[in-house]
Amino acid sequence: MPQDNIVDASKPSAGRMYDYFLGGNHNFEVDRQAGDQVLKIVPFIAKAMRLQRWALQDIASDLSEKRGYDVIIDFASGLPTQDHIHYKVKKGTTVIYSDYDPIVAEYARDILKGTTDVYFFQADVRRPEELLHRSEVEKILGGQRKVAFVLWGVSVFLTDEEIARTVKTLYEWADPGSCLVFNAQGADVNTKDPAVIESENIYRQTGNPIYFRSLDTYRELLQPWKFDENGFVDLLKWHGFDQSELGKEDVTVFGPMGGGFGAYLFK
Amino acid sequence: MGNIDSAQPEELREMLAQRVEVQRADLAARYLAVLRESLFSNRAQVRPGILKSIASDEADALLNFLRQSGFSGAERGEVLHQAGFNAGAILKLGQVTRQFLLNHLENRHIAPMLVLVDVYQEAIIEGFVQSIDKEKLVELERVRNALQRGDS
Repeated sequence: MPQDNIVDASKPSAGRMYDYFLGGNHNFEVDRQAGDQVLKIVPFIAKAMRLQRWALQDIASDLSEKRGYDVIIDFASGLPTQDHIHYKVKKGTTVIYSDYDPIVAEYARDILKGTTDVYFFQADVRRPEELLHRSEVEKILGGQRKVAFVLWGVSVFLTDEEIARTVKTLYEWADPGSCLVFNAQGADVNTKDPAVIESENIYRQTGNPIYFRSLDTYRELLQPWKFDENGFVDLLKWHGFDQSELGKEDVTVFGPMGGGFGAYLFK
Repeated sequence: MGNIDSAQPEELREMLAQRVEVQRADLAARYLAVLRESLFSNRAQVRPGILKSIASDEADALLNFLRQSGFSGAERGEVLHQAGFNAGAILKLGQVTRQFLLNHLENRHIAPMLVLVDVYQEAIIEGFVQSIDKEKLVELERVRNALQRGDS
């Protein structure tokens, strides 16, 4: 989830555009207009966002029930709506959400009121140490550092340096056996395609530049985390779809895999 | 036209329920097909993995409506909205119900059946719209609270 302010309605926000692509209500006319511009040039983007978002609940049950993690720390969470992690975890699992935007954090606390073992803090994914060393978070964790981190739906808004620094910080903080679930957005898209260039321009104009990179670059940036046996899984395959979901133009822009991948990595 | 209304409402309900019960798998498959078609236009919380059970529940809801005079379609409409379906999906489900019953009924039962199905679908839409309104009010309140706290 892109990190910007939810209340400035005078200019499009990447976060609210994302919400618009997902069919949500937390967006303004200015976001819908900008979103429609993007949809016009890359119609598959709304599908790509959904493929990405749907994976969150799979991840939640996988981490909590199959892999046995009882602490999940999610960065750049956006609002903890009904399709988010805490809805699908085993009872007793601690979920710590975070988002850069103070209004999102306040709104989220309201949504989570009365929900046990689920917390929301304001924090920037670019400086994860600020979340991990917060006194409240340290108290919740009680010294536990074998955790599962989720970095999902945000990579396209981070520079290479920011991704590398964030995942390295998490690696150094975590105990062996910890997990990082990572979403490689916009991987291997055709950056020379006019539609992609125009999308980049639209996002740059909103003040939220996006950064495309190859899957190989993502692999390098994620070191020293180790991939599980599946490596990066394309999100079409993740949900049991095939490439028939993609039109000819989608393939030209996003590549035959749809441009989004997910992976489980371990320390 | 004398035969059209020959079945009493309760008899008609039971007859429709029996047809639905016998063809339940076919009906659920038709519901699933339209839900799959509209998958990407719903809210993101509607995931591919839940469609099968929603389609099955939809067939059960119709059966419950036909078998239980007090059953409210409004509650079903609310459930569908809260599950994340958009209005287009609701209308398509309604079309499937109507088409399915048309395919499985004799001509003389069609008119009263349509009346009955309209009652059911109006209730579903009413529940769906009420749920949208309720959600918007809750969200407005949350936004207001968040803005107040965020500013302070």
